[in-house]
Amino acid sequence: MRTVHLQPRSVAHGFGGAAFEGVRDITPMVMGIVPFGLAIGAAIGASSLTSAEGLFSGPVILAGAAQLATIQMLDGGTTPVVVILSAVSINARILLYSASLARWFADRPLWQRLLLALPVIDQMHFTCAPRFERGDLDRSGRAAYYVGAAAWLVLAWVASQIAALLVGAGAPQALRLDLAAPLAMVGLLAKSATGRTPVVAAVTAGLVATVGVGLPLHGSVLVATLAGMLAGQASARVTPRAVEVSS
Amino acid sequence: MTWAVLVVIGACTYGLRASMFVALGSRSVPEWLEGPLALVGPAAIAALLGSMLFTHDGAVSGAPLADAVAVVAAFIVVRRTQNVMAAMAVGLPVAWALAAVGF
Repeated sequence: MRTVHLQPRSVAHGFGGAAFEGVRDITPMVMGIVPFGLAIGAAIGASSLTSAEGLFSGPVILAGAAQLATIQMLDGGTTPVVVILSAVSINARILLYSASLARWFADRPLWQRLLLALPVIDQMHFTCAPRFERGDLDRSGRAAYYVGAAAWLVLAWVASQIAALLVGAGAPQALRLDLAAPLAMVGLLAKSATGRTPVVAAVTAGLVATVGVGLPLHGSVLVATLAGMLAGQASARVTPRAVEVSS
Repeated sequence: MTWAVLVVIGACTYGLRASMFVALGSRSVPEWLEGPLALVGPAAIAALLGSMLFTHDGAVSGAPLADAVAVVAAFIVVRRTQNVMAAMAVGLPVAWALAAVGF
């Protein structure tokens, strides 16, 4: 069982230093989402949505896959109820990130927690959770790190969509910017998935997401994530017994 | 109607985001949940990756060779250097080079 340090071992950073560290650490993720933001900006431009509606959808949904699906469905005349159900289903995984990140801010007043919940999304979880688990950021340092990372992520996300809408997503196909997001994610996976349990979780989740692509309501990523977590937990239970037997 | 749909989706998504921030309050996460929560990251990243690389238009489809090689090269380099930025610094040139020789 992993030990989670809710209290700091030492205070390693001032507020500004921690905020800057958050900006620095989320930068690979930001580079991964900018091409996606450009693609969504282009999709807004090509759709029947007004620029105001399209740009409003960026910060208000703050989740690329759901935003793109929403734009495409609204453009195609899909019934509003179906659009809403689909987008919320795609975003259901955010509940897991909320559970993971909330514990680091549990001692904050409710109004602050409500604000801190605003940018909960894949990239924030992938960047902040491992950093917080190192345990050397205090209460204020965690908030600074989180706010710094969130500000940079949201700014880049909105700016990339505005840029694509204003000047068109004119980057040549040969630059392969579409590969930036998977590369950023594979980099994060290579760094974070060490040890048997996370590797089992990752392999299972990857397989289930691929095989389960046809699941209704775009549920494959959520189902795959849960399957990966269960498989990882199961392997963690099996491993100590195996070690016991062998020793 | 578009505005209303966007506002409802935004509100529902914010509800998902805020749910645990409100529900947990000052309580700590139950011990039985700590193990699974630590696996959200690797599992979710891998699920998104599998979906990005091996599916297309709602069906399973193999990743192009150049993409697969770039992703594997990026994985190996980050594993060795522990530098996430290296994924793009290595992966993109690998994809460009393979495209240049016809893959």
